Amino acid sequence: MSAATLDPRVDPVRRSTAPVLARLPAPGVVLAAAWLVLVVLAAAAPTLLSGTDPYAADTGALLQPPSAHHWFGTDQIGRDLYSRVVHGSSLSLRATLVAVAVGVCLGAAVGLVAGAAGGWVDAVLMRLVDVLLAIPSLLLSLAIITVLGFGTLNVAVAVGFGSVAACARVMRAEVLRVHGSTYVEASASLGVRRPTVLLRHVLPNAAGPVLVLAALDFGTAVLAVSSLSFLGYGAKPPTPEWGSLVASGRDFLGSGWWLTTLPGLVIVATVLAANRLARALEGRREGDLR
Amino acid sequence: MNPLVRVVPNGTARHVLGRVGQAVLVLWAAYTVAFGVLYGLPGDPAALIAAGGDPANSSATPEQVAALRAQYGYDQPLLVQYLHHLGAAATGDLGVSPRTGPVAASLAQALPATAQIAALGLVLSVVVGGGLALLATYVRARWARQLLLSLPPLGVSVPTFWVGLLLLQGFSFGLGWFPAFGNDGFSSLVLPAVTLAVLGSALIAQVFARSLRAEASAAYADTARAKGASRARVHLRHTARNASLPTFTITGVLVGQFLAGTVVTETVFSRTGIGQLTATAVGTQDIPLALGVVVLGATVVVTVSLVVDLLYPVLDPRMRRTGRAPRRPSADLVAEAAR
Amino acid sequence: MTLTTPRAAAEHDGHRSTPEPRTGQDRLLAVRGLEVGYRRARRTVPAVRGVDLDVAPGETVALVGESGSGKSTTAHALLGLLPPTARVTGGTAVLGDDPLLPATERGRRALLGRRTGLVPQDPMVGLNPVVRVGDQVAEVLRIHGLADAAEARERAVEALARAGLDAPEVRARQHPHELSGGMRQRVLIAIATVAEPALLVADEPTSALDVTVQRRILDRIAELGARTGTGVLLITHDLGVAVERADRIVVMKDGLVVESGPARQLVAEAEHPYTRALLAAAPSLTTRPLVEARPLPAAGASQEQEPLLALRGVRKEFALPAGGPRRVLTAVDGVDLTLVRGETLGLVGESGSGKSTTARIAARLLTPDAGTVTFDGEDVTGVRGERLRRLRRRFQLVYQNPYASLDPRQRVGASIAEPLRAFGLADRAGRAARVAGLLDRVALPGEVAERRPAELSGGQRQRVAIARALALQPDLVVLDEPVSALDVSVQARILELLVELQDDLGLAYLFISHDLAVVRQVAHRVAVMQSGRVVETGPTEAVFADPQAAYTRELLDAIPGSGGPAGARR
Repeated sequence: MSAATLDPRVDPVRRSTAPVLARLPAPGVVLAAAWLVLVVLAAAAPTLLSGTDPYAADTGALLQPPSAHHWFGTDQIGRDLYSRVVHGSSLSLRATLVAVAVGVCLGAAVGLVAGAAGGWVDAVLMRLVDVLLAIPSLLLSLAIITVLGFGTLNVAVAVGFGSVAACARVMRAEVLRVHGSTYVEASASLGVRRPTVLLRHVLPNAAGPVLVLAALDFGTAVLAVSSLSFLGYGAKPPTPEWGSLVASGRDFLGSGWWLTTLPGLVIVATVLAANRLARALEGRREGDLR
Repeated sequence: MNPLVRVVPNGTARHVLGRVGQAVLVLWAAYTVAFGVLYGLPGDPAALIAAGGDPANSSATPEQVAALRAQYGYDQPLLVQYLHHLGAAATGDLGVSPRTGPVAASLAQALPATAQIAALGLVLSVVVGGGLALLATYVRARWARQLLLSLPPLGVSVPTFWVGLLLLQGFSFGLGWFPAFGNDGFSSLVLPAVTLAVLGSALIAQVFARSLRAEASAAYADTARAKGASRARVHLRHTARNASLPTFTITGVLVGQFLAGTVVTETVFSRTGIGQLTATAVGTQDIPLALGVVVLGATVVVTVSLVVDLLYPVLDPRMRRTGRAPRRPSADLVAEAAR
Repeated sequence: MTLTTPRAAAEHDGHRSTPEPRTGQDRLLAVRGLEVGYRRARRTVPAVRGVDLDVAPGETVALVGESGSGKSTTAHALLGLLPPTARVTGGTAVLGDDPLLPATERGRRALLGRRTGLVPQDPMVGLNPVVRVGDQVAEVLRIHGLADAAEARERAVEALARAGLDAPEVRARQHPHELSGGMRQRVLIAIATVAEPALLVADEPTSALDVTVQRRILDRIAELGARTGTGVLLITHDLGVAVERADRIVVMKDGLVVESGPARQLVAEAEHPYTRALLAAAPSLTTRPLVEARPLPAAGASQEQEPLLALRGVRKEFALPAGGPRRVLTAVDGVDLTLVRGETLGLVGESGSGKSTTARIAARLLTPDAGTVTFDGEDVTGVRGERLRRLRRRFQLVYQNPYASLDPRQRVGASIAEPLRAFGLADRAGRAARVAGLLDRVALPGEVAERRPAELSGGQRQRVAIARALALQPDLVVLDEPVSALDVSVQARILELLVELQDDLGLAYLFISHDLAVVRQVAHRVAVMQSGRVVETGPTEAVFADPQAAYTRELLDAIPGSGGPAGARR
C-alpha cells in the first residue's frame, strides 16, 4: 500500500460548495417576512399606513363595499374598515407578543429545569405538565379570564398560560436530546466541569429549537388571542382589535361580507407568514448542522 | 428471548387497572389545578355574584355580599373550600351556580347537543384528514402533491370563528342550504361540524401525512416493493397501517380541542350546548360553572386518552404480551396537536 | 508490496474489465451502461456512471465497494427501488428475455418477487412490524397470483423452513418483534425465495448481524441458490466475504466498475490500485499484525508489573424500560481484566455481550454495582466529583461514532482545546500551539482547526477525536469500536495511526471491537466476552492459533475468509 496515495493530508477538506443562490431564502419566506414587517409597522406607526381616523364615522358612506377610497369598505356607521384594521393591529400584536413571552419563557424555564435536573424534579414537573395538557388550552385560558376579568392584557396572559405545558414538553425533549448526546458525555469524560458542559454544549444546541418554537407559538397565539377577542373578552368597543372587528361584522353577513371576510384574511395571512418563517428557521438550523 | 432478561410476570388486568388508576390521578390533579386557578387567583366571587356578573354596576350592600359569601362558603379558608368541593365532586356534585343552578345538571343538559357536533366533526375530520393525507402522499404529479400538502398548514392557520362565518355567509345567507342558527335537526349540525372539522382534519392530515412520508421510506416498504406489490398495495396495506399509529394517539387531544372549540362554534351558530354554557360562565364570571366546564373537558380528554391507550395493543402487536406502556407520541406531536 | 505475480501477468490477457459478451442460455442478468443520478438543488449528481454487469444462472457475482461507490444504487436501480430523488439516466438491463430497464412499471412489477428476490440490508427494519411474518411471505405468492390463500400460507411455511427457521408453523403466526435479528433475516430470505426466483439480490445481507449469525445466513443463501440454479448478486463492502462467497467479483468506485473477474484470479492478480488497496485493507484478509507480538509473558508476568488498570469482579445491571413487567438485564457479570502500560488489550464480543458497558466502567462513566476498578494502584471504584474529574486527565475515551462525539456547533480547534481549558493547562496562545501540534500528531492539516465537524469526513473526525483524547497526555485510552463506523480503507489508516501513537507515547489501549480481524491486527492480548462474562483471555496469537473456549472457536470460524485469502470455499 502506497503511503502517498492514502495520506489523509490529501483528503480534501469538505467546504460548503452550495452556490450562493441556494443560501438565499425562498420567495415564500421573503413574502412572509415582508408581510410581518408590514404588520409590525402598522402596530408601531399606524398613521404611516392609513391617514384616516379609525373612529371617524362618515354618515354619507354606510356599509360601503371595498373601493379605491375605502380599501376594505366601511362599517354600519361609516367608519373606514382598513383604517380600523391597521389601528387594531397594535393591540392584537402586543397581546400576541405578551402571550408568546409568557408561554415560551415559562414553558422553556420549566422544561430546562426538568430536563437538566432530572430525577424527582423532572418527574414532578412533567406530571404537572401532563395534567395541564389534559385540560384543553382554550378552556384553561377561559378559566383564567373568568377570574381575571376581561381586557386585552388578561387575554394575553391567559393565552400564554394555555401554551406553557406544550412549550415545556418541547424544551425538555430538546434538553434531553442534547444532554443524552455523545458529545456531551464525551465532554464530561474529558474532565470538563458540569456547569461548563451545560453552558457550552447543552444551551447553545437546545436554544435553536426554542427560537423555532417561539416563532410557531406566535402563529398559534395570534389565533387564540383573536378567538378570545372575537368572543368579546378583549378590549371594549369601539377600540379596534382584529378578533372583535370580525365579531362586529357578524350582524351583517348578508349585507356586508367584507366586514368579516377582510379582517379575517389579515389574521390568516399573519398566522401563515409566522408559520412559514418558523419552518424556514427550522430548516435552516437543520441544514446548518448536517 | 434473551436469557439474560428476567421477566417478572404481570397480568393484563393489572395493567388495565394501573392505567385506570393513573387516569383517575390525572383527573384529580386537573381538578386541583382548575380549582387553584378559579378559587386561588385574586378576585371576590361573592361580589361578582351580587353584581350579577357586572361589577361596575353593582348595587349590592356590603352586608348582602357578606351574606352571599357565607352562603357559598367563600368565607372559609381555601383548603377547607377545596376539600369540601373535591368531596362533593367525587360523588358527582359539581356545586351550584348562582345563576344556572346545579352545575352537573346544566352540563348534562347541554352535553348531547355538543356531543352531536363534536362526533360529526370528528368523523368528518378522520375521513377528510385521513383521505387528504393518503391522497397527498400517493399522487405522483409534483404540483398536485404540493398543492394537497399545502392544505393542512393552511387549515391550522385559519381562525375557527372566521371559517364558521364564511360558511354561514356562503351556505346559509348565500345559498340557503342550511339554517344559520339553532339546534333543529341534522341540517343544523352540518355547518358547525364542518367548522370544527376544518381544524380537525388539518391536524390529522398533518400528523398522518408526516408519518406516511416517513414510513414510505422505511425498509419494510422496500421489501414490499421488491415483492412486486403495486404502489397502491404498498401504500394502503403496509405504510398506512403503520403510519396510522401515531395519528391514533392524538385523538384524545383532538377531542379535547373540539370540546373547547365549541365555545367559538356555538357562539357563531347561536347553538345551545357546552360551548354556550362556557361563554355564559366566562361572561358572568360564574366560577362554579367555569370549574364544571373545565373538569368536564379534562374528563373527556383523560377518558379518550385512556381508551386509546388500552386499545393501542390491538392495533400494534408490538405492544401485546409485554404489556409495556404504549408508544407515546413524540413531545412535539402532542405539543402541535395541543395548539 | 504487490500482489501481482509474474505468472499472473503472463496469463492475463487484459480483457478483464470489459464484460465478455454472453449470449444464449448462460445469460440471466445483463446490465449495460447503467447510469443513475441523484437530483440535488436543480443539478443531477451522477452516482452510477455506466456500469456493465452479468450474472449467469447459478452463478454468484459479488458487487464490492465502499460506501458511496454506487454498488447499492446499482442494485436498487435494477429492482426499481431508487428513492424519489434518484433517476436512471441511461443504460439497459434484461433479466432472461424480459426487459428490466427500461421497463414499464407494470412490466417490472410482474418480474419483482416472482423472477427476482431481494434480501435487504437490515433485518431489524426490513419487515412490516404489524403483519404476521407468515402473511408477509405468502403475500409474494398472492400478489403474483401463484397460489390461493390457503396454498400460499402452506408454501410460506415451507419457505420459512427452507430458510432455516425451526418451528416454522409457530413462527409464521408471530410478529417480527418476537423474532431475533438472525431469524428476521431468515424470514426475509423466505420472502425473497418463496416464488423460486431466477435472480437473488442480496444487499449487504449480513452487515447488521453478529458474525456467528452472518456465516449461517450466507450459507443458507448459497444453498438456496445452488438448489434452484438461482443467480445471486451479492452486494457487499467486505472483500473478504466476496472472495469467500462469489464466483466472480466486480469492484466499484465512484460509480464506475474499476475491475472485475473470477474471484480467485482477482485476489491473485488485482491490477487496479484501488482493488489492491481494498485487498490490503480488508481486515478479514489481513494476517499481518500491526503490533509486534510481545515476548510471551512468563507465567504471571502481568503480576510482576503493576497493572495500570485492573477490573476485579465487576458487575453491572440495568433496569429495562419501566411501564410493564419489571425486568433486569445483567450486562456485565463478574468481569476481571488487567492492562499494563504500553499494552493493547482487545475486548471482543458480539452485540449484547457487555463489552461496551465494560468499557464505560473502565472509563469511569458508569459505576459498577459490584467489584472494583483500580487505576495505577489506586481504587477508583467509588471516586466521584472533583477527584474523578482530576483522574480523567489520565484516562480518555474515543467513541465509535465520530459523527456524534463532536459538538456540531463547535470548531474543531475548540473541541481539541476543551480538555486543556478545563484543566487550565495553557493560555490562549499556548492552547493554539498545542492544538496545532496535536493535529499534526494525528496527520491532519492545521487549517482543520477552523472547520466545524460537518465539514470533515468520518476518518478525519475520528482523527480529531483521537487528538482530543491525547490532549491531556493520558496513560490509558479506551477505544470503543473506534473504526467500525468507517470504510475499510479509512479503518486501516486509523489503526496504523493508533499503533504509531502507542509506540511513540507509550499509551495503553483498551480496544473494544466486534471485529476479531481488527483486534488481531492491533492487540497484544485478547479477552473474549459472551453474555456479560469473559470466556477466554490470552496473548493474541495464542488465542487465534489455539482457542480454548468453544465460543471463541465459533467466532473465529465465522470470520469471512478465515480459511485464508484465496482459501477453499466450502
